[in-house]
Amino acid sequence: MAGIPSRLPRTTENEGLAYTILSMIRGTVVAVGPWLFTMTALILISVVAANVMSRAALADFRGIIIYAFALSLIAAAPFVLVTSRVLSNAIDHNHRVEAQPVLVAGVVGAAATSAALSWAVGWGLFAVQSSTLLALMQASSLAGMMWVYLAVASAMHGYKGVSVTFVVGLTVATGATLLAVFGWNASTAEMVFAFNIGIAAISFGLSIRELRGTRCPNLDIMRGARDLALYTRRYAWISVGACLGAIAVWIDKWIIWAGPAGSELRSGLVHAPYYDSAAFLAYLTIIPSLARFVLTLDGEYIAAYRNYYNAIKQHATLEEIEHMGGALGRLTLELVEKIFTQQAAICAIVVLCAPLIIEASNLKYAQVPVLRLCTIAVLFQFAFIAATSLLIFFERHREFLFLQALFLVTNAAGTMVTVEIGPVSYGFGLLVASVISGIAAYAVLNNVVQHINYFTFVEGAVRMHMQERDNTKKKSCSPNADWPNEPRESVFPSSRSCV
Amino acid sequence: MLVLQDKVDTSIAPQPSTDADVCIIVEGCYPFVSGGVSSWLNWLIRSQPELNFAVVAIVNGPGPREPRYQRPANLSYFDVVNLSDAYILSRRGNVAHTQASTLGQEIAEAGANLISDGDTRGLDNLLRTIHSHGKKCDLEALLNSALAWQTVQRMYRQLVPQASFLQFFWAWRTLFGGLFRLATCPLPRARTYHAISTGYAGLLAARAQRETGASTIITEHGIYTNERRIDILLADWISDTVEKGLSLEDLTQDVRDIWMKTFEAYAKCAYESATFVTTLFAENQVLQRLHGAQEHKLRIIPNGIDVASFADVRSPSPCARPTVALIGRVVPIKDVKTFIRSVALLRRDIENVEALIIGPTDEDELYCQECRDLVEELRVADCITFTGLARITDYLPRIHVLVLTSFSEAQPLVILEAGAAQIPCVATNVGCCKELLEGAPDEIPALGKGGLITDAVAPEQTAAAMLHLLSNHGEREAFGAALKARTERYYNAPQAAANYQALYKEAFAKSARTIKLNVGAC
Repeated sequence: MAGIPSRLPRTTENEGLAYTILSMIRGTVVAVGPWLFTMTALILISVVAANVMSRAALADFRGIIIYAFALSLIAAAPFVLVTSRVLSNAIDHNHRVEAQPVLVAGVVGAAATSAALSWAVGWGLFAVQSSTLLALMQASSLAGMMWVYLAVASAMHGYKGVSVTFVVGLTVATGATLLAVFGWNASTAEMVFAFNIGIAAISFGLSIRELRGTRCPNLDIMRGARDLALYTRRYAWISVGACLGAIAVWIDKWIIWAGPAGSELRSGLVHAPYYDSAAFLAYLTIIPSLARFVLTLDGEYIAAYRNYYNAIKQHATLEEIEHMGGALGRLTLELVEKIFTQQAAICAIVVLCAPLIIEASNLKYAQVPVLRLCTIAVLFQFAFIAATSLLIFFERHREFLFLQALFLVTNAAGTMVTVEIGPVSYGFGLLVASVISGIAAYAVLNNVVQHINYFTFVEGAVRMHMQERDNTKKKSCSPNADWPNEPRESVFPSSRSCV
Repeated sequence: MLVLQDKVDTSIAPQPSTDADVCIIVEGCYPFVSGGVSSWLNWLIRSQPELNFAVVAIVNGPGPREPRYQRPANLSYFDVVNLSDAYILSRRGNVAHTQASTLGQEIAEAGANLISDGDTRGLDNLLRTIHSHGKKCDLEALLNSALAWQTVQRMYRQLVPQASFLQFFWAWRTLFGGLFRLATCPLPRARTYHAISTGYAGLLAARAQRETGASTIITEHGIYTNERRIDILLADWISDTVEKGLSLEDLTQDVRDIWMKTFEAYAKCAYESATFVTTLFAENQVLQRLHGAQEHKLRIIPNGIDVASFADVRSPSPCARPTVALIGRVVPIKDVKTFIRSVALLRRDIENVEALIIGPTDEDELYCQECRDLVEELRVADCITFTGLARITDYLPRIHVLVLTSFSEAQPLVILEAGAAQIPCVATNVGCCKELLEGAPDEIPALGKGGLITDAVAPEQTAAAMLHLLSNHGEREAFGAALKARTERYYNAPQAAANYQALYKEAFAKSARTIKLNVGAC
């Protein structure tokens, strides 16, 4: 009989997915922290080494590390996202050791693509000389590995271990760099190599943490690569979205670097201190809001999310499901709105105190408007980050990609216009892009939570069936196509003489 | 009668193909399964060489599927309709939430009326709505869009507002997904449509009748609605979530009720649309009437076999090793385990007895292994042989008694084949086994017994019956002769083929008349 299934399909799989997705968001968001730590380490090195090295050489050093980190973040984005999701999922199902080949493949992939991208940019765009290029590529590939390990470790709630490893690694990086500067009078490239020891230490420390319990014979890298390719295809929308998102965060800087405000470093790379330093200060304001966002997700929100899916699984009526779905929807929007309000307060303070902050940071007074514009932009970027992260919670992968593309395009277009206008408008492009993308992301999220039950059931069924079809490899059943001229088994004569 | 053909949106309407005389609509068997209804269909198509056939095979779930039969020369069109949405839906439907409300209301009302009141106008309304809205109502829109959500919510509120919504959602997707699939799938043009069950096959025949005005025939070997009722009652993946307590008067429906009522409604639609409703034996008609088949449509056409092809089969010598055989697939419904247990009991009285289990063992390998384990456990491995797929004519000359221990049968061909070879049978009292072995009440002259009837799952009775026949050569010969005479008279293939030929002729005439009337009305 064709029409009766032999089991009830699992619409409620999201209940189990809750922690997986949460972990992934946590891992992605928490990755912002190391950026700030790294910048702090670079500032520390610059301050301490200022007496023995020229400002140009130090700027060059900082530029190479920033390039390496930025390029690796873009190149590693799909690997970070897919690997942390696969590992989170494997831990949910107690298959952690089996999933570790995927982690290793992800790390290798991230390192290779980061090195390739930094080579293409360093050699192809800026004709960086060989030893510096090598240092850039090494830093980039090590950072690529680090992003993957870091996201996976953070996703697993290993905040303490990750923080300790990171602080130790950066201490090693800072120490090694200063030792190179003071002990050997190192060149810029040698400083980068020394700094890389610390990044390698972070990657090594995190790899020990993540790969413990795995024996070498179990590490079938080829299987890991195959699985990784499979999962990347499955999560193609968010993988590409993550990549576009990483580019979008940097596109305004690149455009300004390439414009009149850009200046060339010794290595041939370019930067724009006028814009970069003010933008960096503005980005610092997002830290408290992101922290609160992650903590709320981890507590109250995940409980409501699980309640909703548990109710469905435990055979709630539609009325009950609608009630709980409505509550989850309200909570989702409130989460963004409340923290947005908090961020708005921080933003207001920074905008008002911008001249003081600029003065205290030893920057130019002309950078005040940039700081103000970027701070308001960061306010809307928070809304954008929060809303797009929550969209992943509801498995809205296409919308995630669309919004990241929107941010990329508007940021690029807006910044290009501001470059034409002049330095007085720098940051305005980012602001417009952030406002448009933030509002769009909130509107999409609002639409999703308004139709939360539709997305859970109908879209959930479509997704499940598509995955099922992918897994079983559809066999064509077109007319006449699968009826060969001869049957496989013995032919039945006029009546029937066999069974 | 409703004729929708002129209203069909060409973009979703079935594409015309080579015209066939008869379009067979079959669910879950031919040509991908061997034995049973599949082999009967293979025979039916071949028995009407002057007619041109089309076959629409309704399946569910992933392939690959390979035909088990050689393609008949008179089969001009073959298509597979897969009911599983995993294998048919590649995209989301394009209906916005704002547009879905009115259309969803329309579809939900028609669907709910169909299920709750068994109102077959619900099917008419559904088909009309689907076909008149074109792409807005294509399969993706019906299952994968806001329209689907509006429809499922409204039907749930109308039918089972207190039941598990999760259960209802998947039931709806399966039951109505199948209906929507059949409402939008290509339909070959034919002079008559012959569905080999009610259910989805009957539903497609009902659609064909409504769209083309052609006559339709429903043939049931087993009663589909009854078989589904058993499946649904036994299904442990359907949870009963509505608390009815001990009250027998509580008419609150649960999702399990919806499953059953939907199949009943589908059967009613099929019967109402059908020109003829045929089955193999009279007892089945009681259930067909109960499910809405009108008396004047009912016919009985027994299966037949080619008796002549068994003419050369010689009866085994009385001195040969006593041999009993079960011929059939090694699957639970055949209750092969009861046969094995009865052989173990028989062996206490006849030490050198040989038992053959003749039939494919690959359909349910787990069950087959359980049977083999039972053989070992009862220490009868030296007298029981699993032959696997085999030519039964190779084995019939060795068999003294044929045994059938099935839980369920319609009109088993093996009894007729044994009869043609003059072999008496022991069979359970299921389907029309009793009628085959003891004759119909109106059999004149009475031809006598062709074997012994036992209860189902009664190894002692089966063993006793086998012992009785193996020990009484004279009675065994008389039973074999009676069964042969009955088979020749009532169950021979040429007669069955002639019956179907006559039925098709009548159906073609009705089709021509109806289509002419419709054209006149237009």
